[in-house]
Amino acid sequence: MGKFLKILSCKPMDEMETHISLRSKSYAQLFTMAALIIWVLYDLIQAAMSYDYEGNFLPWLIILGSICIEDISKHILTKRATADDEEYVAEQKAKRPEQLIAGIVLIVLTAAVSVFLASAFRYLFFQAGILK
Amino acid sequence: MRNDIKKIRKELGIRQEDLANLVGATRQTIIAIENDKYNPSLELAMRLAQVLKTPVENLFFLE
Repeated sequence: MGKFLKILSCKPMDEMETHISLRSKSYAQLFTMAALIIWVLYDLIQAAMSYDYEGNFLPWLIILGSICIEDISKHILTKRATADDEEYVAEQKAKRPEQLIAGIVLIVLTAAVSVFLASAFRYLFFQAGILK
Repeated sequence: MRNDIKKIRKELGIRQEDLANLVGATRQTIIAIENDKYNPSLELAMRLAQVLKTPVENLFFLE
């Protein structure tokens, strides 16, 4: 592979280039997440302003998918890196139920906040006379 | 972290481009390391120490 890239005069990245590339990607991800959150909020307002508008789940799904992929890959990579350490593996096994509860609480909280925001927007628009 | 790479490289008469090729990095990486803008990995630090024929603890030091 390295030889092939050399023939194409396209060298693989060295460690600083990889580091810079990762940082740039993290900024790009930050921008994407901010744009998706704005989209979700805009959609919540649209849904609150209209009785007919059912809402768009696409930005939510993209945000959730992105968070899930990040967390799952982090978990897998950490597991691979610490697989041979018995002490750490035993400690993590004991923490598993707590992590599961924390995950469920986070999902319930996210859903509750979304429902609250939609209701709050609807109430505010109703009070302002935008929604009749 | 600071380093003496520039000083030692000049003493040995090695160009940045040549040092980069010897350690398998790019010239930009060498420039960034010499100017304390990037801390190399342990592997790259040891390669630099090997090429510059200097113990790694004499090449890099904590401020």
